[in-house]
Amino acid sequence: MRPSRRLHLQFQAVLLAICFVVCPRAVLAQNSAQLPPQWNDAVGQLADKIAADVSPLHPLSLEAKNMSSLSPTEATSVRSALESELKNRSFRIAPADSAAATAQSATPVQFTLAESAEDYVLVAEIESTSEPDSRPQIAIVSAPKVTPGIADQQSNEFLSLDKRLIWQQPGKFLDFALLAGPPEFYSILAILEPERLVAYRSSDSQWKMRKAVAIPHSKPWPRDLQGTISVENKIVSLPGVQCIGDVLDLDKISCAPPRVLNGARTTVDIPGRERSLNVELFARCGSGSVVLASGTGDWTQPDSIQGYVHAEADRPATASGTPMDLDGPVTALWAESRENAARAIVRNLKTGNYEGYIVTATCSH
Amino acid sequence: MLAALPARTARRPRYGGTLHVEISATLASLDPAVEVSTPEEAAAKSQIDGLIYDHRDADGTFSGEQGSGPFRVTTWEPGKHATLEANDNFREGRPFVDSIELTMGVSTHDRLLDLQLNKADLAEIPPQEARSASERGMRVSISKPDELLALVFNTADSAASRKASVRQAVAQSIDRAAVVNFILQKTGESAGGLLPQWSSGTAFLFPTTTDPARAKELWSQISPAPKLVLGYHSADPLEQSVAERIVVNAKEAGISITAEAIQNSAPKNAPVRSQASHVDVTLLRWRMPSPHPKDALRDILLLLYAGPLAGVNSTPFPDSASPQDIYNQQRAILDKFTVVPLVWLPQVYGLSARVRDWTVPSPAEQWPLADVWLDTGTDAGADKQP
Repeated sequence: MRPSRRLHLQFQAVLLAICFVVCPRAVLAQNSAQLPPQWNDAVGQLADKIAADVSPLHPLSLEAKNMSSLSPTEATSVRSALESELKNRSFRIAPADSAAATAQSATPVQFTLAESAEDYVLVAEIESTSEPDSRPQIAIVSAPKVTPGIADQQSNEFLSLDKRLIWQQPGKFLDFALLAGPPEFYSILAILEPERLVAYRSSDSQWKMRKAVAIPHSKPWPRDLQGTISVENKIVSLPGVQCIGDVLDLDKISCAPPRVLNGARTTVDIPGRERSLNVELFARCGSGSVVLASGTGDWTQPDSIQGYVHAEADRPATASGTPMDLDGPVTALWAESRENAARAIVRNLKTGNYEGYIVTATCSH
Repeated sequence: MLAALPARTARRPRYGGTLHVEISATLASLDPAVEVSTPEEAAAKSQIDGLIYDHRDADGTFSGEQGSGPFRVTTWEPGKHATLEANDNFREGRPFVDSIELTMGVSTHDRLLDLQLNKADLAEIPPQEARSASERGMRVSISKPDELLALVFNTADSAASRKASVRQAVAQSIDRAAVVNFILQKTGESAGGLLPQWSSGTAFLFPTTTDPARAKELWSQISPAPKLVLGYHSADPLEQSVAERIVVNAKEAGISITAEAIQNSAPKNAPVRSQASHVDVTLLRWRMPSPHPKDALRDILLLLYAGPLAGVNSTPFPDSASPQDIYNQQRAILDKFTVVPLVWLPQVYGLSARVRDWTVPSPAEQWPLADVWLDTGTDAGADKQP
């Protein structure tokens, strides 16, 4: 199992390295004609294959079907891009099932957007107009899996939650820190993995690894390992290990057994979520402090983060606003230095990636 | 307050407890030098090896010392029972459960009963039993369909099977939907290609519909019409049910075919079990060794070209095969009707209510028993650390 998973993870890592910065922005673009570069390549290749099989003298009637996990909006974007590519190759597109398509003896092309274990798969089944009973020509290309997503629109009953994806990678990580480092804004990203602390620098709109330091530990980590980065205190904490120093300068960071034992996390009493991860933010909403808590499933289920208002120390917190759904379990939840934000690590069950989000709680009065 | 909570409110894993696992296979030894005699034993041995060895080599074999994995064997009664204890020093962290009690040689009936009585925490369930188990309130975990049940024609020994029209007529007479709906109780899906849709993304291009009229027409053109024998594994009740269903379908199309149980007389590690020479066509069960379409297809191609397709000129399959190459390879084989995919079967597991963080393994993955923990309903042991 493990070698196979590693191969898969390596494959994903390559894809992520390619499109970490570019893809999400492009997929999120509302303009349906804009696709990530890798998708443009794939759509162009499919158009080339269609053009190799069909003469542009006759129009194409294009029918599309989405069998993938892409949303209808995203699938429409891909179809539009394919139509554009075909038009660039001198094809006319007749509306499918239209009288015009029949009258112009259009070549039917069934375009299917599917998904394999590794990629999205774009399939064109090209019917023959001269031999209707013959098997269609099949053209297949692949496009890398890029997780599209649109920021959740939450109601703002009391607390409204918003999330921003900061980082994702196939391998587990425990915490992250996004740092403003001159001259750029947010130019350093520190990722705490079980075995190392990695610093990435923003360069040409991409994160490039700058430095990694190993985290020594004499005993195997516990299976439910937790660790956190405190930028303010310049401490990276894991069970039995503290690394002290500025994460902006990993050369000067040093790790050793902690002089003071790590204190237990203070959690808030939330009825029904006693064993969930929860974190009390510095922000306040009305008369209470703001608490975020993960859901009640186990680590094999999708999760959510719910906002709570904790008015009195000896009373349970009460839910406020609607929960924010996530594609996998929250494995860590830490308060950000900004008063109304937290860092959440989520293991996306669809992609297998670990994702780091900044979750912001806004109090609406 | 905790007592009033629903059973599944736990979030953070807990350490402790004994996981009771029941399997049908009987293993005499875990010694790598001792060969296993059935695919079930091989699968069970692989699962146990995955628990006691640190890692697998690139060739799929386990290496290193026994006990270097998340568990170590402390009791071994050949063919009956084993106890595996958690390895506190496992590289990836101590497992959550303290130990695993593994009982071997348990029948399907007894496994289902023990799951219902909470005497077992984890047991494999045949796919055809999944629905009824679920309807009886059992907790069932089902994988993506990753095991192919297919017809394979014995073109080496059977003159009838060497006729493409015979193979095509049989293939087009089969009602796969009936197999899925009635025999498998909808636990599975019709197979048209050599890879499932979730793996290749292109399985939808291979039709799975039945065409009895076409089958009848093809058969009527064959003279003299042969009498075919369909062999199935004598110890596999699912194969028997499917074989009998195929016979019914074929007879509706006028095809003369009988089903016959055959012993698994294949040599150990043979790619495809040997077929009795009088058998024209047999059922083949093949489990994907990898979720990746290229790797999985390469594996079944090796099986087929070493067995039923031996001597057939194969299309080169490049290392960097594209989805188009993968489709073309399948199309080239399936157009010959020597191999007729029937259904995709999932792996089905029954779980007790206290099992948490069980993730159904994909092809090539091991049972994730190091990640599983037991929700005992109390906080005792919740914060116990290794």
